[in-house]
Amino acid sequence: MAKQLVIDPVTRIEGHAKITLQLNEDGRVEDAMFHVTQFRGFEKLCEGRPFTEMPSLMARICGICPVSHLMSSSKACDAVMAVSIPETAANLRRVMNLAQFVQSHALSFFHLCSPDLMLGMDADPGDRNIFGMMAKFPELTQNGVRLRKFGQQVIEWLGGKRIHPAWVVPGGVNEPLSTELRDRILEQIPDMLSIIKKTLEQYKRSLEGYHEETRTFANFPSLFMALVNPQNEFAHYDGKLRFVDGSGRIVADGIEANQYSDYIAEAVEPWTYLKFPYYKPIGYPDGIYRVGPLARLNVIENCGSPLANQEWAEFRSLGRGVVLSSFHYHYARLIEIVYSLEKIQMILDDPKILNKHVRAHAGVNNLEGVGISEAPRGTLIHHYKVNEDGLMTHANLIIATGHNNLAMNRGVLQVARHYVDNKKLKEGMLNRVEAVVRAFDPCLSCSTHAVGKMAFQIQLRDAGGLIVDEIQRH
Amino acid sequence: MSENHDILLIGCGNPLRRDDGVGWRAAQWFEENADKRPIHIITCHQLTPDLAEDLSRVRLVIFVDAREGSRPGRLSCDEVRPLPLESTAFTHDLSPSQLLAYAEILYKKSPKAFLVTIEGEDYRFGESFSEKVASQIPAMIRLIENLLDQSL
Repeated sequence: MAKQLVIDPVTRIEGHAKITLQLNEDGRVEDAMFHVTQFRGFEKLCEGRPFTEMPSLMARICGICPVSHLMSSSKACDAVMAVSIPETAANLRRVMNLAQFVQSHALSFFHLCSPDLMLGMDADPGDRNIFGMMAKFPELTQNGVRLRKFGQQVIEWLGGKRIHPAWVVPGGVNEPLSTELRDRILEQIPDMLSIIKKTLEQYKRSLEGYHEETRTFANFPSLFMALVNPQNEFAHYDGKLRFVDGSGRIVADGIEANQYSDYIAEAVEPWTYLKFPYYKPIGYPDGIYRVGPLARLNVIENCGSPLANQEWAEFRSLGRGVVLSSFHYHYARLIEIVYSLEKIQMILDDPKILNKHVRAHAGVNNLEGVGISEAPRGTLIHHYKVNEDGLMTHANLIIATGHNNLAMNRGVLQVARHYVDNKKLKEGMLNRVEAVVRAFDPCLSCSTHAVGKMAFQIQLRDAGGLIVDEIQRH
Repeated sequence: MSENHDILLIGCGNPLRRDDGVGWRAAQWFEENADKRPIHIITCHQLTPDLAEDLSRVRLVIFVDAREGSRPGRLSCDEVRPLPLESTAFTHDLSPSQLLAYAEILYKKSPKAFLVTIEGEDYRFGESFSEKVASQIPAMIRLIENLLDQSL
């Protein structure tokens, strides 16, 4: 009898989701669907609001990565104003964005994924959580807190206050950086670099135990997309879009923000609130591409900072041309923390960062604007349309987790086919199905535009759709 | 955090979801009246692990949040104790008791803690409160002030 297995809710990710595994007559996985079960609708909320409110409004989309929305939103507003913001303002935005990478990646690696990665996928689920990590690896866990705290502090210091910070604004930032604050940030960098270097070495040693996961976790050829700068380095704040294929060949390059819709379209499915962006020249659903840390490391030719470059070269040796296994999102995340810390230091070491000219002023000069930046989970696109009075008439947000939707679904199918056997269900098998989703670090609150916790469900259904088994976690 | 701050108030919720923003409203009130109270104030959408370090540095923490329930506007104050997570259902956010456990295990310190809540009625988009919640905000502020008075 054909059956269906449903994981609901998926744990240790942000938002609500479930996974349905369709089994065939032989009890083998035939199909898999990753459902996002929450709906937000922020795009509709924006209509009629002054575009100048958009950065602070958009920052409320997510409690984990508000800065990412600040960046893309501000850039879209810059485009509406048709201004080129002062270089110092762009660099100050970069520092805040990179601090966001440090805190977000630290949360993903140390708090959400380390139980799987350091305690083992088959560890007792009662211990395979952050409290198990604290017991076995207290130093690593404390270091995770310190790294995240550092990122959060830099954001708070730059933002000026915790309640409704409005430092990043259309046209730049509203306050220059003080010498005292610059020095306060800089003095913490060596300790943070020491933490991440140690963690990276520890993680690389642990990879030996994950050959099978590396081989089966969303490991397939696909396109990869990210921003790159003119030197083919990381461009987390700005740059132009590049797509490479599964062999590393560039298939589209130099794509300006306002050209994104020539390359990306979105499909919808009735069983999920999360849309399916796809690479338009290939079409849906074959135009599958991935974004985020793995994609960024795959599209660049070097990182742009010394330690990260060394790590990147070693990382890229894991693949031929590009690294295809999504298990290596974790590894890529750690390298991006190294880069972020180094880059913050490089920016702050330049005396020009203390320049006082940090904002351009203008009204509405374009009725449409697109802002693209790299968020921790991948490329974030904000596309606004306004009327002559500067009131929003339309907003379209394409969130990193959405870009990865096709890849996450295919990854779940690949893992389920490899690990799940209906005849002998084991918790560790199901954990791997969840873990492949966690590798992408999806942020479903962002991508579907509900307040609440991520929950995850696995259901087993027969050919007639009847649930014959179910695991649910809250 | 300043050495002088040994009390922490955490306003939690989403200020764009009407009644869910009540924790932020309390935080904002005490921020504006900070000169009267030596407290450190944090607002957040959800409780995350890095806050454990903040908790480890204070002797009292007051969490303020909206609560779902059948009696909108009902004001509650409960003492919170550390409670480790029992399942793997760990997400980006923690409960106050889990966060206290986090601080206790990692830093060997766990402050006295209270959770102040008002039951919400309307969680749709918006920045204003429902009538039942709005009418209870002054009482909520007084309740928190009493907790502070007792601790000082």
